[in-house]
Amino acid sequence: MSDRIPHISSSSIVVVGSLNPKIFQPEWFVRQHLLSTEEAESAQIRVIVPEIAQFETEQFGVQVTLDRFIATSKPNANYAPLRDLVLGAFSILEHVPVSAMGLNRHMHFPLDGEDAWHKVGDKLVPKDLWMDALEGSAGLRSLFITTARGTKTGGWREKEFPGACYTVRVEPSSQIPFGVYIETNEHYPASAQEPLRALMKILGERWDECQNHALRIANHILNWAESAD
Amino acid sequence: MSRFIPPRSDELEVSIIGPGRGECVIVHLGENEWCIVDSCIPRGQREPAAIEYLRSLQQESLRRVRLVVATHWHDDHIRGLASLLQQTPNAQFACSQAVNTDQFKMLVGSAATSIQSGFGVDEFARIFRILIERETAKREKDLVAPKFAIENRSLLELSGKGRSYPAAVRALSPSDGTIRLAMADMASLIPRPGEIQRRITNRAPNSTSVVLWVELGARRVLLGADLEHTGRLREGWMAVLSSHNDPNPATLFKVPHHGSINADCSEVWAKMLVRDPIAVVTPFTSGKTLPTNSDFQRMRSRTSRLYCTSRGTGKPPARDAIVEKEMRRNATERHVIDGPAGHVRIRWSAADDSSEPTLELFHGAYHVR
Amino acid sequence: MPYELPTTSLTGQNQPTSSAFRQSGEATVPIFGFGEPGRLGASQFPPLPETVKSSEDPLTFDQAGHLRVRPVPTRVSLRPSVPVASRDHAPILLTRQLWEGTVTEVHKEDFVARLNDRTNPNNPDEEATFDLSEVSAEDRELVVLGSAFYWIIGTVITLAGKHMNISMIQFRRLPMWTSRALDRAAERAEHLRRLFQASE
Repeated sequence: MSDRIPHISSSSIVVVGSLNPKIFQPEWFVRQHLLSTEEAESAQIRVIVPEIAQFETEQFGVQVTLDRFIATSKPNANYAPLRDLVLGAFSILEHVPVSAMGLNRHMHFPLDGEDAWHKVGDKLVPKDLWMDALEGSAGLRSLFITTARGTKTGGWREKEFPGACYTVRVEPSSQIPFGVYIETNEHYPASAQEPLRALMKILGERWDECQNHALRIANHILNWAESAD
Repeated sequence: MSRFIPPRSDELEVSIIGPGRGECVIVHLGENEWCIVDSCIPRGQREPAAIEYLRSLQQESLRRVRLVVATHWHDDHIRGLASLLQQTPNAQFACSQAVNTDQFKMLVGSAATSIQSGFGVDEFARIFRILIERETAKREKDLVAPKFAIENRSLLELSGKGRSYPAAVRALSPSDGTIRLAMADMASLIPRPGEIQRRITNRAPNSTSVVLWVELGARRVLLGADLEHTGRLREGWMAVLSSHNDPNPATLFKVPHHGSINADCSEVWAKMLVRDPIAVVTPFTSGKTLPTNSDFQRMRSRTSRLYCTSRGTGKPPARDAIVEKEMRRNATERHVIDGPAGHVRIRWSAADDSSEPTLELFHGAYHVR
Repeated sequence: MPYELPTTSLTGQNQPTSSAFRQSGEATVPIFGFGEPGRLGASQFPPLPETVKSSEDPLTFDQAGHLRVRPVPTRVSLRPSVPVASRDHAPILLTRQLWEGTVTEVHKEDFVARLNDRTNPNNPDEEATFDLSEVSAEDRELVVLGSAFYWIIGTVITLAGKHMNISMIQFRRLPMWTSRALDRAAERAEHLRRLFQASE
């Protein structure tokens, strides 16, 4: 079966730590050679105050609070430059205390119509129990599955990253009629030794495979859910 | 003969693998003891060519590798060398004395620190990490610290009990003069504050390449690496000629720098090699293609026994029609730079003085007529 | 096994980082419904009102004081009230091939690069020549020896549903070397010096 392609896809990188949001302005990224002047000049700044900074450029959305840095690629843009933006920012801000990092992918897939859409929901969560318990119909809003074990494919090995975990969220898509939204999160807590450098090393080494692995998982879920009973 | 039959214990073997980017020379020094010079990863393989070959011989040969040599730091000659060293736990590592300079150490340090990987320097950073791990594991001193090759330094000597014939590997280069030149070259590559991080690339021919002289009993081999001929007395091949003192010529010659004219020295053929030696050249397909037709003609005029490891790298893999169309529209002179593992293997008994070497060609290697 | 959501997971498709990523209109959350056993069918709920989340009482009052009764779920198929995917969204880029390139030569009108296949890393590296006109004006200063770029080949599906094949070169923007990073490099170099001294 050929790989399904999400019709809407974006990626995000989340760094949890102790941050100074006011630093993260488009001009700062230009000075660090992480954004072009043109992209920064056309940036839409939502807010820059001591507690929160938020802006968007042609390629990225950046939101920083006192304890969280979130960078997101625009829908359907190339996810590769997002890694460079975050790697670059944190290679300069090397003294920032951090506690965790998450590598995320967000994907919306179309299905073959309403019947297929219902079938996916029915297959992911068996209906009998819920109809009995709730004495009527019930609807799946969101499904979370987490694992702390590594995977053979995808190169994600919990042994190498103690405390790491992998979470998958499946929901009906709010963007595509009768579509499915699948989100993956690779969560890495910071190590005791050189926590920021260690996390950035993971980002540099894992990013491409993380994105590919997310797509493989999504395909696996949908192929299984759509297969005959 | 099958490629997977190991050499006899009294046989010298020289296997030269050249896929189009990089090369690897695997030398059997008798008694299932080996030396590996440089490394490459041919098309379609995930592991270094030397690992794939030695594993196929099924004689635990990887544990019997005694010496791994990086003749210089350009990435086309050492791809996968760190992985190779990792899997040869009893091998000493040797490299050019030019590496033992503050400039090169700084290049390696910056490659290890950069968020951008740096080709050959990056491979050296990985190699040194393995040596540091050996130091932490309290391995023998010989297996931790690199041996630095400089003209006429012995890198490996095998003799005594358990061996029918002594074997030796000796460096013939670099000379002092070329090391000083290399230091200036490397210094220009060291990053400075305020410079953008980027990959360290260096496509210049290498003047500090390690040329090796290999002996097993009465047999002699000259491995030319990438050493240039500048014509100046204290550099390149002229320095090798002036310091080399073995009266026995080599029967087998690994032609330097992919047969290019700037590495060709007629006196080497006249003074260091037998008449009509076995000469093996590996092609180069990144940038200027080597050897050129005139290079082949020149080498053919020197020996009738000229072999090349590969005719070419082959076509690119088939891709989506839209992808192919867009690639043709937007990029010109596109070509694959990694080819299959063309392999020339020479075996020669050290026991029988009258015996002739046997030569086998695998995976597209050919006799240049 | 963690019981709470990892702190690095974004909270779902309705919590984008900024309003620019929101669709117009309310974000609604359709729900996979269940049908009769053995039958496909669904029930579809309208968006959960805020008050439902905090109260068990099905009767609520709106701001004008009118009584509102929360609809009783039935096994009826309703079309979910979500915006059409193509409205107010970015065009879809289907990436067919991604290369990462490194510049190995720069000439007046063109440059040569080594290409690594990121779509299928098992494929061999290639080398190609690119015209400098393929590089956007803002990236032109980045075309130097050793710099890296992405070469994306794909198909754009526009908001109107048209298909356009594209090829795009985008240079990687990497930070500058800082004194501190070079100091760390020097520390590593010093460690190597001590290691090498053991051989002398």
